[in-house]
Amino acid sequence: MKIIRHIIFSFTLIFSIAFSSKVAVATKVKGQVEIMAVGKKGFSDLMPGTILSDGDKIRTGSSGFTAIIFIDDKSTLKVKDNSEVVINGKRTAASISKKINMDEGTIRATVKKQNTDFVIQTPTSVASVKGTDFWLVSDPETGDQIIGIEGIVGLTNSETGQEIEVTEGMSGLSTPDGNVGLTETDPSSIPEDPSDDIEGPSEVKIYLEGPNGEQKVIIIEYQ
Amino acid sequence: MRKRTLQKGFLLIFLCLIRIGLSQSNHLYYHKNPSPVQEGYDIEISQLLFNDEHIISGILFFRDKGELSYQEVAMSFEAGKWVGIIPAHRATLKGIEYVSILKTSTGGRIALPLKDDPFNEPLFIRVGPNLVIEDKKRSSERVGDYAIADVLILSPEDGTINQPDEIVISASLFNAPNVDQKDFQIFIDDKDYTDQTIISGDVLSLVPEKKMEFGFHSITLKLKTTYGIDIEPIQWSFSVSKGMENLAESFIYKGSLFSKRSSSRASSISIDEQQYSGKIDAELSWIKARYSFRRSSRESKLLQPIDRTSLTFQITDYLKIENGDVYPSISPFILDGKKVNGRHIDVNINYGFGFDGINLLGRDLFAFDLKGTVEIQTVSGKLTRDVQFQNGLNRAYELLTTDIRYDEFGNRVYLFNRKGYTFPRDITASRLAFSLNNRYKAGIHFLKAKDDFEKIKIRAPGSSLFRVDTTIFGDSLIQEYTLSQFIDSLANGDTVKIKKKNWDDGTPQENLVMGFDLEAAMDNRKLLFQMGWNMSLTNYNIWAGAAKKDSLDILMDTLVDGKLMGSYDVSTLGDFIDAYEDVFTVNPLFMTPILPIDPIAAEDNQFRAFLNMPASAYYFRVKGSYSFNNVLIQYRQLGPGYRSFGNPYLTNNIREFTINDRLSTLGRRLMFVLGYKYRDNKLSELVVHPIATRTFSVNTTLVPGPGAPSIILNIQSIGRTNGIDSIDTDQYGNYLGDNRENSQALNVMASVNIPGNFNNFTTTSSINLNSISYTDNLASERNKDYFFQKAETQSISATLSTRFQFGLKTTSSFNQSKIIVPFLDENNEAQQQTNTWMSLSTSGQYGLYKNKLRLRGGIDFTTNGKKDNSSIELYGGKIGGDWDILDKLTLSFISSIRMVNNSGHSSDQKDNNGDGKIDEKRENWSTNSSGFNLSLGYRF
Repeated sequence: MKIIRHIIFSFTLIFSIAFSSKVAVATKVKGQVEIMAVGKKGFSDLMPGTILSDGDKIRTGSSGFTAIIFIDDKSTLKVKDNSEVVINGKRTAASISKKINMDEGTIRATVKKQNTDFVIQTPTSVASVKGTDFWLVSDPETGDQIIGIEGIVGLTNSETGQEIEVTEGMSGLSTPDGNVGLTETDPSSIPEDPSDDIEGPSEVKIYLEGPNGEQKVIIIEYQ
Repeated sequence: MRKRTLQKGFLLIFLCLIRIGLSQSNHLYYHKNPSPVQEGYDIEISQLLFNDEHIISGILFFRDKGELSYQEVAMSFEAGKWVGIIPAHRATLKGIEYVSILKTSTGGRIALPLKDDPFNEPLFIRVGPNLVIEDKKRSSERVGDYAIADVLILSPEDGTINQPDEIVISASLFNAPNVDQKDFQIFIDDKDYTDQTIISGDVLSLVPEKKMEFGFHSITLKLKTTYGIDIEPIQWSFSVSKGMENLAESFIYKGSLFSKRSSSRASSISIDEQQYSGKIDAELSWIKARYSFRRSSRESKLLQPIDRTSLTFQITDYLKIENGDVYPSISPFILDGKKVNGRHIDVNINYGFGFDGINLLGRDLFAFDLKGTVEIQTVSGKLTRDVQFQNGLNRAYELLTTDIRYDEFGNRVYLFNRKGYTFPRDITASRLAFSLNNRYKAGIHFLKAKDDFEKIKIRAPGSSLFRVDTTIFGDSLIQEYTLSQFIDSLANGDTVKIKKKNWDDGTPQENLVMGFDLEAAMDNRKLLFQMGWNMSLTNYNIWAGAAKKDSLDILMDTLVDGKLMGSYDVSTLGDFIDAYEDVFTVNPLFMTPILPIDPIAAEDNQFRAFLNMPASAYYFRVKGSYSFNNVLIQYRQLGPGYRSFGNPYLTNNIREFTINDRLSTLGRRLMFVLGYKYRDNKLSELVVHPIATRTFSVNTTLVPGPGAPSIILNIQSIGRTNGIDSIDTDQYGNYLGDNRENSQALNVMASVNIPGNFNNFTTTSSINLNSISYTDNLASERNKDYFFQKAETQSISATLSTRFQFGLKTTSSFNQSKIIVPFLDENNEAQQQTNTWMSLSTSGQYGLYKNKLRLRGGIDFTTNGKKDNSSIELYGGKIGGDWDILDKLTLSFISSIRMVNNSGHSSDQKDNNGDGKIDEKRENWSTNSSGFNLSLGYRF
C-alpha cells in the first residue's frame, strides 16, 4: 500500500512538473536571484531567459533584481532586492489570471489592460490592479506601501477589509494592525528601478517661467 | 536500380530534346547569359567585344522580373571583357531582367541586347533556389506570401539599449495557437541562433551563448503554422551598450582599404586604371556611421563621375541620413535606385495610442488601439553633373555653315554652336507615408528635376578644335581650327558669334512628378489591395522659358480670341503660369502633356479620358495567399507622355494585365507558377500599328531538399500581333507587301542541378537547356516571297564543379549556342543561316601553406565551329592567386590572355596585323585581349 502511495505521489509530482503551465519569463537577472521551481524543494540560481511556471517561487538577495514578463499581455513584474514572491498564473485560452504572493520585499508592477485579475497578495493586504504601474513595498512588520505611478490600484487590508484606491502621485499604506491611509507621494520614497539604468525612456526637464511668474516645464523623453 | 537508371535516361533525353538559346552573339560582341543562377549569389554579366570600338564606360541595368524600374551598376573592363556584377541580394527567385549599355568614345552606344529599344526587351536570367540554404530558407521572404500569427515580443523591447551580458530574447506564442512550435528559426544579424533557442509552454527563449557585440542588432524570427505555411517573419532590433561611462568601449569599427592596378588590352583598346577604395563602419551605442569611397584614375571632368563617396548615419531604426552618392528609392514610378549625388534622409517614427474604453457589463466600450508608422523621405542633389565639353573635333564648338548671316554692314557673321556638354540636373524628391495597424498604408510623393542650363559656359577652352569645310576658305589645306585661329583667318569685318542657347547637343529639361499609393489588408494580410497613381509634367526645352500671357493667345492656334486653343482664357492662364513659375516652367509648346486630360477624348467620355490621361501612370493590384496559392492580379498603365527623370528607364505607353498563381506543394518543395499577361501600346494615337502580346507561362520547380537533385522547367508562349489584318496593295489590287504580324514565340527552359557527395570530394553538376522558336500563324496565307524575320536560338550548357578534401576546387563547363538567322538570298527566297558557337572552359583553385596562398588558373576555348576560312577560334588562359601577407592583408593578382585564330586572315590578301606584310605566316593569329590585375587589400 505504501509503495502504491509512493508511486501515486511520484507520478503526481512528475506530472505536475512536466505539465505545470508556463506563465512568464525572466528577462533580466542581476545579483543573487534564486528560484524554487514548482514541485521542487530547494532553491537554485535563476538564469536569464528561464521560463517560469505557475507556482514558481523567486527570491532575491541583498543586491538581487529580476524582471519577469507575463506571456499573455507583457505585464511586467520587477522584483527588487531582499524580496520573495510566488508567481501564480491560471491559464485560459484568452489570458492568464495572475496572482503574486509576496511575503516581503519591493516590487514594481506594470500591468497592461486586464480582462482578468492581477492580484498581489501580501500578509497584510491585497492589491487589485487593472492597467497600471505602481510600486509595492511590503514588510510583514510595518505593513505595505503602494506608490502609484500611473492608473489606479485597489488596496485592501486583509485584517479589516478596509479598502482605498491609490492613484497616480499618491501612496497608500496598509498596516498589520488593520489601518489603511492615503498620502501624497514623497518623490524620495520612490524606489530606484535598476532596469532604468539603460532601458526605457529617460527624460530631460526644462523649467520655464512665464512673464507672470507662472512655471512651466518641458519634458523631453528619450530612449 | 535499373528502373531508376531508365528514369534518368528518359529525363536526360527529354531535356536534350529541348534546345535553348541564351547567348547574345553578333558581329559586335559575344555574351553568354549566365542562366540559371542560384539565389543569393553575385551574378556576373560579361561582354566580349569583337570590334575595335573604343569603349569609355559601361552601365549594367537590372531589375526583378516584371518590375518597372532598373537599378544600375557601373561595368569594368576586366581581362578583355566588360563586366558588371548584379549583387547577390538581388538574385531572387523572381528572376532578373538586364540590359547593358556600352558608351563609345565617339558618343555611340552598344546595347545588350542589340535592339532599338533594349529596355523594352531586356534579357532574362532565371534564378533557381539556393540548394545549400533552401531547406533553411524555405520560409519564403516574399511579401504577401505569409500567414499571420499574433506573436508577442517580450524581450528585448524594439529599439531599446541593453547591456551586453543581459541579452534575453523572448517572444510569446500564447496568442498564436496556430504556430508550429517545433519548426522555427531565429536569426540575430542574419546569424542563425536556432540551436540555442527553446520554445516551452508557448514561450520562446534565447540567451546567446556568446556576449553580444556593442552596437545595433536585428532579430528575425521565422515561424510556420501547424499546416506548414510560412508566417510573416517577425523582426525587431535592439542595441547593446554599456552606457555613457563606457563610451570608449562601446565604440567599434571595421572596414577595408583596397588598392587596385589593372591593365587590359582588347583589340586596339587599352585601358589602364588605378583605383583606391575603402569603407569604414563605425558604431557608437545607438548611432552607426559608414563612410565609403572609390577613387579611379579614369575620373575625368569630361565624363559623369566614376569616383564615389558616401557617408551614412543611422540612428537606431528611426533616422537614416545618407550623404554623397546615394541610391534612394522613393517609389518605382518616380525614383527607384538611381544614383543621386546629394542627400537622402529617411525618418521612420512608430506611433501608438489607444483608449481602454468604458467597462460596461464586462465589455470595454469605445476601446481602441491604434498603432503604425510614419515615414518621411527626402532626397536632394544632382542626377547628373555638368560636363562642359568633350575632347576631339567638333566636340566643343561647331561651325554652322548652313546658317549664313550678315551684319548691317554686309560683313559675314559666322555662327557657332556649342557641343559636347551635359547639363547638371538638380533633383528634389519627397515621400510621406502612413501605416495604421498593419492594415492600411498610404503615401504621397513628388519629384522635381530641372537642368541648370546656366551652369554650362558659352565659351569652351581655346584649344577646342572644330572643322571648317571648303565653303568657308576654299581649298585651304587647313580644315581644323581653334576659335582664335579661325578669327585670325577671317577677312576684315567678318565676325564670330557663339549661340547663347538652343544648341544641338540637347535642350535643358524640367520634370515634375507627383503621385500617391494606397494599400488595404484583410484577413491577416492574406488579402492585399494595392493601388497607385502618378502624373508627370515634362518641359523638353526650358530655354524657351515660361509662356507669357501676351503670347499665349496665338501660341497653339492662329485665332486672336484671347483664348488658348479657343478654349482657355489666356489672362487666367497667364496669371497661373506666372504664379507657379518657380514650381514648373509652363510652356505649352514644349510640354508633355500640354493638358493633363485630352479635351477631345473628354468630350466623348470623361471617365475614360481621365483613365487614359497621357502622362499618368497607375496600377491596381490584388494579392491573395490562400491554401498554398499565391495569386496576383494586376493592371497597370503608363501613358505615352509619362516620364520621370528619377527613373528614366521606365517603359511608357503600355497597358498591361497580369494574372499569376504560385502554387506550392510538398512543403514548398514542388512549386508551379501559372501566368498570363496581356500587354499592348494602344494608348498613343501616334502608334499607328499597336503591338499586342499575350504571354502564357508555366514554371515548375522541384527542390526535394539538400543533397537531392533539383529540376526546373519553364515554358512560355508569347503571341504577338500588330493589328494589321490585310496585305498592302496598290489601287489596282496588286500585292505590294505584307506587314501583318501574328506570330507565336515558344521559349522553353530547363535545368537540372545534381549535387554529389563522395568519400574525398563533393560535386555539383548542372545541365541547362534553352530554346526560343517562332511560328508564323499566317504562314498559310503569306506570299511565297514573304520574309519572316525571326531569329531562333538554341543552347545547351553543362557545368561540373568539384571540391576535394585536400583543398583543390575545380570547375569545368561546356556551352553551345546556336543562332538561326533568316535571310533573303539573291532570288529573294528566304533562307536560314546557322551560327554555332561552342565554348569549353576549366578552372581550378588550390590552397598552399595552410591556405595562405591560394593559386587560381584556368583555360578556355571558343569556336564558331567552321572549318573553312570563316573559322574563328579563341584560346584563353588565366593565372592568379591570393596571398595573405599578414592576417588581414591580402595581395591578389590575376593575369589573362586570349588569342584568336582567324583562318580568313591568312588568305584574304590584306595586312590584318599592320606589319606591312600580306598574308604572311601566322597572320591568322592575334591577341584578342590581355590583362593584368593587381590588388592589395587590408581589412580591419
